[in-house]
Amino acid sequence: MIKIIRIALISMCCALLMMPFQVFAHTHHQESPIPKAKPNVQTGEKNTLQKLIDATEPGGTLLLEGRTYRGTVIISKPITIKGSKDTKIASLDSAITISNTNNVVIEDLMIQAENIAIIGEKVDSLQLKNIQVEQRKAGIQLTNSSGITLKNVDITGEEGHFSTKGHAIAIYKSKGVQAADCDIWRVMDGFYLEQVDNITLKTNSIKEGRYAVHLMYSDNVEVTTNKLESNMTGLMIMVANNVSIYENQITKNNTLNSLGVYLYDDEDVDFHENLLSENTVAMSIENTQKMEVSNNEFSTNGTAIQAKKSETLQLVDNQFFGNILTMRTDQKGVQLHHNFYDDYAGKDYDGDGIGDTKYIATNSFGQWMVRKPVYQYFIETPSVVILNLMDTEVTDGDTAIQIDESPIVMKKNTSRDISINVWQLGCSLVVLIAILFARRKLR
Amino acid sequence: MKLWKWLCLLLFVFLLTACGEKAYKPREINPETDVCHICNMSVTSIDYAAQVVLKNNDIVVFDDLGCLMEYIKQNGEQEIGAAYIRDMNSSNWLDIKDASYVYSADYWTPMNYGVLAFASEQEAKEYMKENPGEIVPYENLLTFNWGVHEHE
Amino acid sequence: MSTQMILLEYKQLLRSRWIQIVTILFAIVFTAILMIQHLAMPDTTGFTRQTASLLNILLFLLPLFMLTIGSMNIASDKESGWLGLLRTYPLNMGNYVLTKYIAFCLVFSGIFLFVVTIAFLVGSFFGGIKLPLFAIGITAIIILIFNALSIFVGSIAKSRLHALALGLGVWSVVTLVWNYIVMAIGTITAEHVLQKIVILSIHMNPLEWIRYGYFVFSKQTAVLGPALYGVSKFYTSYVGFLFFLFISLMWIAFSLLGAKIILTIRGKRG
Repeated sequence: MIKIIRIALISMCCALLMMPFQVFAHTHHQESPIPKAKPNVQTGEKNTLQKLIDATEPGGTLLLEGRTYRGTVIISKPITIKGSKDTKIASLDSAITISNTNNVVIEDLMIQAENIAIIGEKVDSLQLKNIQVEQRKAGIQLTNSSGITLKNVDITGEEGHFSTKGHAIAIYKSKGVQAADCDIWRVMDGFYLEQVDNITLKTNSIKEGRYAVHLMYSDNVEVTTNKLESNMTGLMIMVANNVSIYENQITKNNTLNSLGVYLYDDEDVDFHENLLSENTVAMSIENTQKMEVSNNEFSTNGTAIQAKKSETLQLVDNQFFGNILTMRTDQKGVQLHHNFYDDYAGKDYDGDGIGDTKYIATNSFGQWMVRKPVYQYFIETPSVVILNLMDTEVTDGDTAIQIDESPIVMKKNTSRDISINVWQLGCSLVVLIAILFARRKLR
Repeated sequence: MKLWKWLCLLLFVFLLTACGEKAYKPREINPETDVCHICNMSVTSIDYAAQVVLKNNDIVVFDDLGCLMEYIKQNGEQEIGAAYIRDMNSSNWLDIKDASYVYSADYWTPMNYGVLAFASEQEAKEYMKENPGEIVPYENLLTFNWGVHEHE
Repeated sequence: MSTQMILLEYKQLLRSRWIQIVTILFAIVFTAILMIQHLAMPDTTGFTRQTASLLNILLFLLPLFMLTIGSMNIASDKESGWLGLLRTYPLNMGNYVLTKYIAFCLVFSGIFLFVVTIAFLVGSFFGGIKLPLFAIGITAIIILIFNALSIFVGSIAKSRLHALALGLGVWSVVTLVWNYIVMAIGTITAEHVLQKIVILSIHMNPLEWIRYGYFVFSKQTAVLGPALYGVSKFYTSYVGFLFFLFISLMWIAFSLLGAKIILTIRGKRG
């Protein structure tokens, strides 16, 4: 009797396993460049994910096993999908498509898709947590959605030049995006947000992409405590309103045409307490109004600030050191006030912490570079260094130059240990004695 | 000695400028190095790229037709030898004065300006059958309200 | 050419007061730059103002020392009659030129070693300093190319004063005037023309050549802007590297060969 029941159960399971084959025939995304003829290879592998999703009631929770699910799935109802250790979705096309639904939660998954890993359209309240994506064509692409939460989403692209890759997280025409703790590496744009309202990006780390964060036509933006390193450009914010950027580390964005931060046609920007270091150009501002840049550290960049058509830009209480060029601007200039410059040569005889003479931030070579980029070849050549020395002596009376009337003279504390490096001392002494000995011999 | 060097270099310059004076030929876009002159975005979507060949044969590259128009607005046309935009269908370069333009807020372009160029009005109409939009004559492009600059 | 001859030249050079002053001056400046970098700047790897000033010290001072010392040394050999004396021996002028060249290179390598040792000695009291590897490579190339050039300049000069004037002239053209001319031309030409002139000037001016080499080998050509992208791509390739070596060797070979020919012709005439 028990035997019969067992046989019946097994055959039922087999029948269930055969069914999903029909489901995948029509799930290809329209834009897919992947040949559609490619079959879902199912070499004895069970593929029950879509079935499992279909079997879960709306609003229910689906727990996945720690194995690889192959194929493409479509989600069109409220659902929570939770993976466990080693749960992986592999697809020759897009992996997960979510559309026309609300309250979708996806957690603890690895995704490997030849096309886009996750596509979402018209989703209200979508949460993606602890997800790892091996990006081929693109990572996550969401359109016309709202209430999007991305937490600990790690996306890794392949090797190669960024111009051949897709965006990691692209969101279009949506409202309310919160992204935190995402690690993104080797993609085109880390975050590409177009026409999105209410954005918070927090403690993300984005490396070796084209633009780490690229916002267009987006309002009410908060970007904080992110690490943007070795991209072509760290922050690229275009045509945005009410932007707040603070406590980010924007470093080593120093490839061709690189900028640490680029703002184009923005309004109402608050930029404070960021670290910008080792970028080709730390900050480039164009056509931006109502912007205040305060308490930031600009260290060892090629050019610290570059500004065009942004005469209301306020730079207050920032520290500039080790930059080759502090500033270059167009005729309109910017407002400099109460910053620290390590190449300020003036003195503070009245001891109020503010230099007694003004600081001139621009030089004519920098202005040439704006006009003809080829001049960049001459950056810090001996001839240009000498030119700059003469330059600062004679620029008085020129209207295009940028001046800080009240530069700070207090030096930032650089804590360097004054200890004796015995090994180096010994070695150099030995070599020195050897040199002097040889010198005597050769007399 | 120095004078001689000067003369040599000047001669060199004249030779270079003299070569190919009349033909304003478009050049290939290099997505690894080219950035838009106006908005500074790298030109990775090369099928939407535009370029201006100046009368001194310098080439200025743009990522979107809207940026090219902004350039013309800022600098005028007297320096411009020719201006080119990609044909949506063939990706060939079209002289901007010969192209037909279609606009829709739903068309995607790198700067989201939503204006596409076609070799002929025929092709433009063909495209509009599937993707509704409106024909924009070239003369209107200069006064066109580019993009969705809400706060301008 | 023999080791003995080289040693003799070496000893004579070390006795020169001018070389001693130059060594001390160079040691002070070099140590100062390294110490400022060490004390005031955070550790960085890219092309910063401090890296630039270290590079500029090497590119600016070393050629000055070499061009003046080398050319004056050759000219003084002429003036003192030493060269005339040498000519009475069965000695090829090429031999003389090569001996001088090797001796100069050795002397300047010795000076650089001394200067670096002093810098390290001072630095060791402040927790130890690091010398960027590029500084050594750049110095080696400067020593090899500019000593050859200085011998060439010396062979042209008629007297020590003439040699000094010529050396300073060449130095100022190579370091300053050249770039100013190129920049000035840039203000009146189209940008694509300027780009070609810049590329040409890199190949025509040994100092620009060495500076460009620094950017290529430290993989920082991005600093120089997109204009040089194509050229830099070539020089970072394997073939490009060989071509780089070839051009560098041409500078040395042509300078030494030129010096030999001029000295031989003058010797026959005089």
